Amino acid sequence: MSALEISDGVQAAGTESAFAPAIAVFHCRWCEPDSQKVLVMMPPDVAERSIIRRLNCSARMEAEFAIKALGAGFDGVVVIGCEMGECHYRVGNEQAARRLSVLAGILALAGIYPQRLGLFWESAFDEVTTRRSIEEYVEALRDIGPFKDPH
Amino acid sequence: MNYKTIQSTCPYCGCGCGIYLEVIDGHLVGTMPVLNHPISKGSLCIKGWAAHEFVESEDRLRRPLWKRGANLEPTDWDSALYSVADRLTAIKQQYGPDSIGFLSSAKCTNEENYVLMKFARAVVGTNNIDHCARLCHSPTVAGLARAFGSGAMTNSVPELEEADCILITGSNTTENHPMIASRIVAARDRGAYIIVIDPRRIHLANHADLFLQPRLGTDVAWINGMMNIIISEGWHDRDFIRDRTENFAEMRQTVASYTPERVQEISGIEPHLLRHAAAMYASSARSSLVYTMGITEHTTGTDNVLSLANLAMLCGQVGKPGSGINPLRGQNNVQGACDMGALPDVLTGYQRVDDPEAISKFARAWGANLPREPGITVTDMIDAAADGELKALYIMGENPMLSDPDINHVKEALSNLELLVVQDIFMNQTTELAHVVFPAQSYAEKAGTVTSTDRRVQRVRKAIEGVGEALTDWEIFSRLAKIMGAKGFSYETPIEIFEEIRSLTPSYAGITYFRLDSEDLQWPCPTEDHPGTRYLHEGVFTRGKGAFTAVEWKPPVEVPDEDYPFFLTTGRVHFHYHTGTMTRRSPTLNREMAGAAADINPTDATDLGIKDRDMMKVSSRRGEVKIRARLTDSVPSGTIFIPFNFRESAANMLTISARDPIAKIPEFKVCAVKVEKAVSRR
Amino acid sequence: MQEEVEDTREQQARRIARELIASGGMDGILGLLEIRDHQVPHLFTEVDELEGLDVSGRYPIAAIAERLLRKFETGRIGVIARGCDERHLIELEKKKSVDMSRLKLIGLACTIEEARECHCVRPYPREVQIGRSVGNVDYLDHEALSKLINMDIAERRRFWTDIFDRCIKCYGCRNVCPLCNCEDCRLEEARWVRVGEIPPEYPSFHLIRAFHMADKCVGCFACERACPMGIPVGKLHQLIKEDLKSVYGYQAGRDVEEKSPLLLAPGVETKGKGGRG
Repeated sequence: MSALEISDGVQAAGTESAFAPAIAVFHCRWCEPDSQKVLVMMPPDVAERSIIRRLNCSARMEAEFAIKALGAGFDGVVVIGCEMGECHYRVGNEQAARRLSVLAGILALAGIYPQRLGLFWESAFDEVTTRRSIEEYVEALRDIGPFKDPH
Repeated sequence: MNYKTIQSTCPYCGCGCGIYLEVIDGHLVGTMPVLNHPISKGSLCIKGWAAHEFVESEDRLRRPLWKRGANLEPTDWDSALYSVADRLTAIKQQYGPDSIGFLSSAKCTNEENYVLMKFARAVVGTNNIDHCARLCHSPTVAGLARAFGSGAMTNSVPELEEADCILITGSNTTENHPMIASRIVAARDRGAYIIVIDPRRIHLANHADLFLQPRLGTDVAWINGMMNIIISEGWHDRDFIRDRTENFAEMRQTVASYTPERVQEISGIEPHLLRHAAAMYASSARSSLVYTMGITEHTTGTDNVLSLANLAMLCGQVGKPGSGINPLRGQNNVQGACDMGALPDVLTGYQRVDDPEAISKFARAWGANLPREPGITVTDMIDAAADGELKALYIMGENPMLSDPDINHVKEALSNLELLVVQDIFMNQTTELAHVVFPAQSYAEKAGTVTSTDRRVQRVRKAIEGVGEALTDWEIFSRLAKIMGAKGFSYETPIEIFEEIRSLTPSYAGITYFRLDSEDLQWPCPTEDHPGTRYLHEGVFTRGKGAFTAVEWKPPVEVPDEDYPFFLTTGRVHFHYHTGTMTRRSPTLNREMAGAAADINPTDATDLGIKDRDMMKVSSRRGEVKIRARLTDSVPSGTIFIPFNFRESAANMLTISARDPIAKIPEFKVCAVKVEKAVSRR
Repeated sequence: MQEEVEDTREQQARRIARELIASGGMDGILGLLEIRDHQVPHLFTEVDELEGLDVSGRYPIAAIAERLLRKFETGRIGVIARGCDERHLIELEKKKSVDMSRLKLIGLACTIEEARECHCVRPYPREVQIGRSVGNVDYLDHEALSKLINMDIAERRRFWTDIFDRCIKCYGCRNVCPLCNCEDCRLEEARWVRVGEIPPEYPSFHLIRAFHMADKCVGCFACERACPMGIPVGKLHQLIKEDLKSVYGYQAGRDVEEKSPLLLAPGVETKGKGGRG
């Protein structure tokens, strides 16, 4: 499995007030080929606990990646793909969006905040918008708290 | 096109789940649960779902083998049978019948166990018959027989749902008796209190209301402690004690010294938790005790069982539904093997060999003189073989080279025999040492009955033809008996054997194959219109009054010291069954767990520089094993857990063969080891 | 006055099966055989076996039909199918796992009691030859489902975390499901679900399956009946089905032409967002 290597030993989060979520980020190579660029968009305390994986298309994002990531110690999963209508493979991003929307519904029914799933459809890498989207997402995730069993 | 399903009973554990074997073109293609089955209620555990996978394996023994030089070579049935008959006869003549021993199989049917013990007693003339119950529930049989007059599970599995409180100790129920754990969680859903008392934080502990974690080998102490609290608080059932028991005063005096503080010193259990457990158990209308190897596999195994019997009687929790003492038997037919008298001191139905009336009855029925002195146990047989006193051992469906303690000693013993005959379905570490190996049929190739842990007699039915030239075990003994000139072995069908069994066994007398086709029967079932017995000791114990026994706590024989600073405890894993002869040939189960891992506490691992999945070397005064580490806080610091199912990291290389003096069970659960990170050879 | 006594469902079933076997066009009829108070799937090939044919039990018979069609390259079988069995077969047909032209469905309608036991909304197949349809049914057992629906997200989290923790990885839920027929099941792959653990890895084991079943589950509840630890998996699938129905109007098992929403339908709003929070 080339695009994903998740270790089950993600480090502990730290105190409640300074909770630094660990995020598994999957980004499409067409809107942003450079993983490093995506990584630095995250606050440093989050970046150091996160992983970035590049996909050929957001359609390559499987529900399993997100589910496994949550179980492996990540608190959130981000998918960055091309804006609708701009997919290099025509409708790959629509496929992903549909799939992840269904997944979000399932997470909610199982009691997992669907907001842990951050889906960003950005036009040929608009750094400013993406950075803002990620910051908002991270702040929301800090409020929600760690994924690992609260009790 | 063809498709059929045959209803049978799962060959793995003592739950006794119903299964359908699916057959297409004469081959097993799968299993299915039985929807309205009293035990399994339409479910199966992963082993039950995979119960067909090993049956037609390429590895199955298909032809008889005999030793030529250093190797086992195939031969025909007659040659093999005659050679065994000749050797047995010669050894019997030269050294006497008691130089020969028999190990029966808790996996084989009742009919097969009966025929083996009839062969041993009537043809060879020895009572040296035993089986693996010695290594698991012999203290149950000894202890409960002494306390109640009967060594069997007092209540039934379905009744657990009627309990208001279930105390589970020394039983990793979800992993080893899943369908019984199913009832426990159902009871909890109905509001019952669940108390788990175990030196390891087992899976069930996370679904209990109360979890107590005593040190290994301290069970008599905490049980006495609970009774101490119950008596001080006046929570005991005075009426029951007065009317239905004896010897209370002596027991009461002994428990007086087991104050909560003293119990904490011995076991580590905090007084307030002990009180909680005592209160829950004593104050519930129906309280049930459930236990397995954590109670029995100690040098104080019988004492531990007697203590649990004391506790149950103290609170009047015997002889009514949803209560009682419930030892969960391990093998699919270990209860049956015991019931059939595959034991050195009893015939079927626990009729003693040294009871003149009983032995005469059998002697008349079988037309043979029968030995009247009890024989020796499996652990004693191994010692006797090592000493050269036992010359021949005939083993049916058992693998002592992996399941007995102190494997080096077992190997030495078996290698010393003049004749070792093994009858099994696969080659294993024991068959490798044999002079003659007979290929036997599996549960799917034969018909018969098996008895599950709650005394439930059920059918196994033939689904496919025997593989290769394998014969059913009773057929093999019958042929051998005929060659040796014995009468009374001309059975054509297992029904004939069962009819003979029930004619000699009051508790089975009312059970017939016909009834088993449509009824659910638990012994005692004395007559054909008797509905069977759900729970025992109603109104009166089998021995009349229940007997309290004053029991003092004694420590295990070998505890950690400077040289061997860790506790070793052994046990099982969910995905494999015992020595793995069947499960390690099942792809579904192997996929889950291909090899062994030892559980070690993360703190200990860090101190030793061991990471998860690193190889460790674990050694005891008996031997050493290399095994992968699994870091988990289910074991407390200072304790290692090793499952015994894996031959390449055989836990029993390390275990001590010290035994309970009454039941002769080895202390599998406690010994001392040292642990190091394994040095890589590269 | 003459009173017409209606045949029981068993009698109707046996009559139809007898006709089909006698006519010689079928290799067998797949139904339930009553033996020793239990009911087990059986391929009836002879008329004399039909005395044991029973219809009051419930077994996911579509799985066996599928397996038989796969194992035997030619031949046709009749299948006594309840509403759920038919829905299973329709979904299997969508996956191209069964060739419906090799099956002849003998429709069996459920009684109202049977419908209630399964919380089944549509306890009848398209064509009913055995029994009489009771029509569409409201969920008469709202209680268990309502309890789940009315929990807030934190309660749901606690509920499912606790109950999934009982799981002993028997795979019973998967094994009884006729729609779970993948040669290589993802749940068995160590990279998605760590092997050899009790309870199995959370949330991977249960939620990967829930996701896979989202557009396939037809609501037969065989999974829940097969679970030894009392985990209400069927209810989770039921809630997910309701979600797909309300958002996409999709119902599994209704029509072989009805495409799953997971197979993209372009033009529908695709902004990623969560469900209920």
